[in-house]
Amino acid sequence: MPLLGDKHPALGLPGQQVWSEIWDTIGPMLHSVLSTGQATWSEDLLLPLATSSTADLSPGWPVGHVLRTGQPVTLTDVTDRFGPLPSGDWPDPPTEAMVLPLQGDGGGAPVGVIVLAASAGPRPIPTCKRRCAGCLPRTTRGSADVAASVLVSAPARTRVAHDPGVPHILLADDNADMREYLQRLLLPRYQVTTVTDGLAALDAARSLRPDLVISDVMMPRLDGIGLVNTLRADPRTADLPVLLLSARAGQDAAIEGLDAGADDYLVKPFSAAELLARVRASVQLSRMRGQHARWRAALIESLHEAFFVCGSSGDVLEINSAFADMLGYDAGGLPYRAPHPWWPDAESDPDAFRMAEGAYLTIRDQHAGSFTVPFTHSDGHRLWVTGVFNEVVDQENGRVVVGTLRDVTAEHDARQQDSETALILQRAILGPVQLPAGFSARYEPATRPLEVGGDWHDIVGLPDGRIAIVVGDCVGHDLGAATVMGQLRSACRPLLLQDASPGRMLAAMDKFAASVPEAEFTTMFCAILDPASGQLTYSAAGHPPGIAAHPDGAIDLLDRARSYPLAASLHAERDEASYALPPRSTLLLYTDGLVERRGRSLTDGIVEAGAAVVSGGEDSLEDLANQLMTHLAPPGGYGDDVAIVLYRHPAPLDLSFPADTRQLRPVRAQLRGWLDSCGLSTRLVQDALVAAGEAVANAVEHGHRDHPGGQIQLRAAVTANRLCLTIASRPARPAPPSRWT
Amino acid sequence: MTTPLELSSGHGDNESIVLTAAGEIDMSNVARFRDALSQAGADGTGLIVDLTKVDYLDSAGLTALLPYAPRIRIIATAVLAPVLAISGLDPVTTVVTGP
Repeated sequence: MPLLGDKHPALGLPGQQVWSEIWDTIGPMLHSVLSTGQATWSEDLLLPLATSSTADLSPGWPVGHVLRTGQPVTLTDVTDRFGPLPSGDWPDPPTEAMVLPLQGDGGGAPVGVIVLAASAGPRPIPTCKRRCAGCLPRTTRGSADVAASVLVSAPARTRVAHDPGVPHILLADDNADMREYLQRLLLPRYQVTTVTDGLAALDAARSLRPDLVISDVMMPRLDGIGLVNTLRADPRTADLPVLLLSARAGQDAAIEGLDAGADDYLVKPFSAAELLARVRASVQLSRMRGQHARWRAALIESLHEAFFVCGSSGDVLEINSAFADMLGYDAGGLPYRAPHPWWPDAESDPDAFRMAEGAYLTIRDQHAGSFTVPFTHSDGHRLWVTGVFNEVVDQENGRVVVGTLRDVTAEHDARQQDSETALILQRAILGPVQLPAGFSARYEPATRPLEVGGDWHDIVGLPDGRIAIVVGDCVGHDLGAATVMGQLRSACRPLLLQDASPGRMLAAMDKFAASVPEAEFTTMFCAILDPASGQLTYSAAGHPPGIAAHPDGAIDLLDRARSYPLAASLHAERDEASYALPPRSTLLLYTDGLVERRGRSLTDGIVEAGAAVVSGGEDSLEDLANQLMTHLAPPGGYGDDVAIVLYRHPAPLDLSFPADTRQLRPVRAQLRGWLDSCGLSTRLVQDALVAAGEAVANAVEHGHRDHPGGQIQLRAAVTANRLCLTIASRPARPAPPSRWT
Repeated sequence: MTTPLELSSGHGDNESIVLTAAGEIDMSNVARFRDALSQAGADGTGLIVDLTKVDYLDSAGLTALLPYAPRIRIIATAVLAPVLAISGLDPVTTVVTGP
């Protein structure tokens, strides 16, 4: 017997001792109540009640209602104090309650009253109508056989209302009696807010965030079913448990309620015990849900990075405060639909707008990814943001995307600064690039907008008419790599001018690279070309092989004379190999950024690059260079620096001479020599000579007549299978180009 | 400097005159070629123009040859054959293997 056994739960004393004065009278009654569940109260029963004044209450035991000592207490005495017992639920006249004195700590004067109520189930306990301090009945035993309340001091109701530990119930019913009854039932353990219709309930549910809504079905303005529907449709209240009360019996009504999304359904009349049991279960569920939600919210809020959740359409559904701080848009504006308010202005800054829109499309369409884009804060300032996101497929919500944003404005500005520095440096290092005839080159640094990186190319005209071609790749592709590149590139030139040998040049570079921090393991390809014959001498230091694409589509790899990257082995001798570029073939030297792809072998990359050069055999070198840089690039652009050098043999012939018949033979001789190096048939050579001769003779005639001393320009260029001759007289009108295939 | 061209004439078989040219014939030296043709063909008998040692001939040379087309025979290598054919001189041209 928890209440009346060895120790009174509140007083720490046996009930017999607490109520020693009247134990003889009440002991059997209590036992009878607790064992049989039968009422001990009867209308004519007078309880000998010993009570005392409030004078000597022990500390910490708040004041309760204390009846006067020495007088029998009747039901009237009780109801005078506590008001009428709740009507309807109690037998009338009440027969199931008795009031007992409550003694203070260590015996002495009783400090309160105990009301024992017994029935087939727990019953509401009368509440003090005077609302004085300490009237909250405390049920110490709520089992089916007995309900016992100790009317002692308890926290005042106002304090209850502010205690977040006390579950909060929103009660919606248009019937005042029902509201009062339910409130009485619930108030001992719950904070209760009452409203009289569905619309008021909706407002209160949104503003107060109660643990549970108990709602009547039949209500003015918005009925219970409508209320449930509306609550469920709003993400803020979708999880809120709802218990519907209805006078309509029958399964249909219950199904309608549950279909609408109610968590539970009670048909009137219901017993108080049933209601309380349902309420307790619902509140527990709500608290668990709430705890989960709070835990999640706390976790998200604790993230330093801005956090967001997007729906499958890309709408932003949830954000944390870091997000709001970063972009100036808070959770109050959710959901944010595209175009999001933080996108840059489409008219004043279309590029930035497109970048932001691109990030949005990526989030909408990809499973995972990242982006760095410009956004505009609500106060108008520009920031750069790096986002990382992942798709989550949720059973309830389907596909959602969670992601974080990081403000990288500072890094971005620093990079911008770096880029300007690098641009100056690059111009200083690379100088104006005037390529010899027959060459084309491209350079694409990985780190945009940095225009310089660790890769380089150089084409050096040697005193004997030959041309040195160098392609190199320093480790890394940042500003640091660029400075190393600058030193290495500069070192190559004097070495080549002094000794035009690729092998010896690389061997010297081995020694030099060993003395330059971060220069080790630079790879290089060096070739020396005799432009007249197409003869190449080359050597490679850990560098991918050059590619020679023949006019018939065959490909040779310049893969001999290969050895370690620079400074990897100082004692290694560097070999050289020779290769004769066939007429009308195209040579491609490159850095590995062109051919290296994740998930693809380097060999496949080289083959692909070779095929691209073959297929561009009829294009001008400039066009071919552009194609290589765009068509071979992976979808997101090159991740590494890329440098390429293209040479097509023989280089175009460019002649400029006075419009004079005496020039005919020497020009013809030069053209014949050039045509011979194109590997054409005798017939084609002769046709070309005659055609050019006729055009030149024509220009000479007109030159003499109209523009004495005029100049004639002859340009001859060859692709894999096409010869193009252009003869123009200056300043007279240019002759149309002639073509032979 | 005009383009070098060596011209010589003599008597071949059947009393025909043979004009032999060596070098290149273009606008700069076609006048000499025309003169030589004129001299060699003055008597109206058969004229043989040996161009086997000519490795360039363009419209200037062809213009010089064409007036004599009905009564000349041209000997040339395959190098000049296309140009001669285009000018309609192929019926009177004998193509020989080049020197």
